[in-house]
Amino acid sequence: MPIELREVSYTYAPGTPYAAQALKKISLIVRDGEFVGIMGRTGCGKSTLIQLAAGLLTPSAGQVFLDGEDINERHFDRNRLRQKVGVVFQFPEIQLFETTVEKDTAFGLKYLDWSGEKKQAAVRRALEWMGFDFEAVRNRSPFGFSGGEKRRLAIAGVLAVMPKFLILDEPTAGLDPLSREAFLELLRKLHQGGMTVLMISHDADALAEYAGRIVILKEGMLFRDGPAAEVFSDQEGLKENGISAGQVREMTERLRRRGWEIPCGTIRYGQLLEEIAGRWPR
Amino acid sequence: MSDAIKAENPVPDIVKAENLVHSYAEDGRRSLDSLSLSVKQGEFLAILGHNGSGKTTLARHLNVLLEVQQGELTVAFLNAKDPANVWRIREKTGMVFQNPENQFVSFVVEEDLSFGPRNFGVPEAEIPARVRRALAAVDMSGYEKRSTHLLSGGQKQRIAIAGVLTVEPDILIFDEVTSMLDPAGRKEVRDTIARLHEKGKTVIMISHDIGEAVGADRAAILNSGRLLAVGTPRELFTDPELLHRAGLTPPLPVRLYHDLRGRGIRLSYCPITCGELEELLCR
Repeated sequence: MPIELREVSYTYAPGTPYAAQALKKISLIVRDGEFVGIMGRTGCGKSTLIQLAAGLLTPSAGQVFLDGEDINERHFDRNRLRQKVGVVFQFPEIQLFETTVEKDTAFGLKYLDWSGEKKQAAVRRALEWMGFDFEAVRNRSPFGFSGGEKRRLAIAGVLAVMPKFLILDEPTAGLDPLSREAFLELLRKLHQGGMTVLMISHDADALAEYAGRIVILKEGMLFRDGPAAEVFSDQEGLKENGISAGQVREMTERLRRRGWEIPCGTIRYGQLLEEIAGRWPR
Repeated sequence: MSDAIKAENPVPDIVKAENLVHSYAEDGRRSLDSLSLSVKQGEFLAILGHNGSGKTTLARHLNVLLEVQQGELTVAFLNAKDPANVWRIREKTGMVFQNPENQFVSFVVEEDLSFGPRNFGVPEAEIPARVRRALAAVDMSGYEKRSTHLLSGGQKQRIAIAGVLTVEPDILIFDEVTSMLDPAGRKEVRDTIARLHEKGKTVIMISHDIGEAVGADRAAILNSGRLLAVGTPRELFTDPELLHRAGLTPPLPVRLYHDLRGRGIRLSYCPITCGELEELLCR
C-alpha cells in the first residue's frame, strides 16, 4: 500500500498577505514495508508533508495517491484512509480526553464494525505494546499519568486501529532514554510485522539505527533522499544546513580526521564499536 | 579564592529542600518522597530522571507553583511555606518550560517581554531598558518589534528565557527546554544557558539528555520521587549500572568505553565527552 506524493505544493493562507508556501513540488513514494525518516530544520515543511500524506490537508497543486488512488478525488473513500493510515502528532498526549484509559484507547474503534471482543482485544494489545498492564490501567483516568506515560497512552489509541501505515511526528521528543528505546524497539517490531513507518525526527541516531531511508527537506523542497548510510555520510553538507547526522556519525568523523580508516557510512552504534575494536591497537 | 577563605565564607545554599513529600493523587502515591537536595548560589545543577521521576514536581516547588505539603523548603533564602513569601520567591526564580509555543502572552517580542516586569510592579519607565538587557543576554538584540510566531524554535525558547530575565531572577529553572528543538536550536539554547551561568546566575536544569548535563557543576538523579544519587557529572555518568536503575542511558563515550572493555580493550579512564574519547583512542 504505497503512498505517493506527485509534485505536491502547499501554501498556507493563499491569496492573503500572510501566504506562505510550505512545500514546493515534492515528489516522493513510500513503498510497502519501508521505514522512512524525515528530517529538516524547524519550518522546513516536514509536518505539512505528513499532513498531506495523511489526507489532512489538500495540496495546493499536485496529487497524493494511496494504493494508486488519488485521495483527494471526490469519490475516494476517506474512511479507508483513516483506518489504513494512523497518525501520531507532536504531543499526542494533549489529545487524551476520555474518563478512563480503556475508553480513550478504544475511541478510534468506535465506528469500525468490529465485535466488542475484538475491540477489547485490540485495546488490550495496543496498551500492552506500549508497556502498560491492561488490567492495572484500564479504569484509571488518563490524566493521572506522567507526561511520558500519557504520550504512550495516546499512541496506544492510534495503534488500536491497527493501521497499515503509521505516520509519526517527533514521537520521541520528551521521552526519557529508556522509554525512547522501548518505543523505538516497538516501532521496529511493528515494522518487521509489515507496518510501513514514516517518522519525523531530529534524532539522527535513532533514525540511523532504525530507518532504512532518510528524506531531508529544506525550505519546502527535497534536499536529500536515500539510504541512511549514504545520506548521513555527507556530514558536512548536513551540518551546513543545521542538520545533525547523529553522535555516532560525529564520533566516526572525529576518528577519521585523526587517521582511523573507518568508513564514513558508519552511523550505527554497533558498527562503530566493531570498527574500533577491529582496528585496535592501531 | 584560597581554600581558607572559602572555608570561612562558604557559598550559601540558595535552595534547600528537606524531606519534601508531594502527592497529586488522593490515593497517596508520592511524586516526591522524602526528597532532600540543596543548590549552592551560582551553581549549575542538572536534575535528571526518567519520565515521572518527580523532576517537574520538584521544579514546580521551587517557584511555588506547588505548595509544600510536607517537609521544609527555602528558595532564595526565603521560606517557601510562608504564604507572604510566594511572590518574592517567584520574582527570584525564573522558570522556562518545554514547549516554546505556549509560553508567549503577546505576538510582539517587546510586549511579551514587558509582561513579567509589569506584573511585578516594575516602573513603566524602567521596562524598556530591562527588555533591552534581557534580549542582549540571549543574543537577540534588535528583536523588540518582531512577531513571536515567526521565530525559529531556538529563538522562541531564547525569547522565553529573556521573558524570565526581565524580572531579574537569581535562580533560573529550565524544565526540558531543548527537547522540542532541532539540533541547531538546541545548541543556541544550551549556549545561552551556559552564558547565563557564567554571568553568575544559579541554574537548575531539568533534562533526561545526559549529553546536555555533562557541563553542569553537579548532577542529581531522581528515581520514583527520591534522590537516587548526587555528584559531579563524571562521578554519575560513568556508572552505567546507576544510570540504568534511574531509567537513563549512558553517554556514547561511556557506552563505548565499557563495551570496548568487554572486548578486552582497556582505555586508561572512562571518557564522558566525544573529545575525551577521541584523545584516548588517538594516543
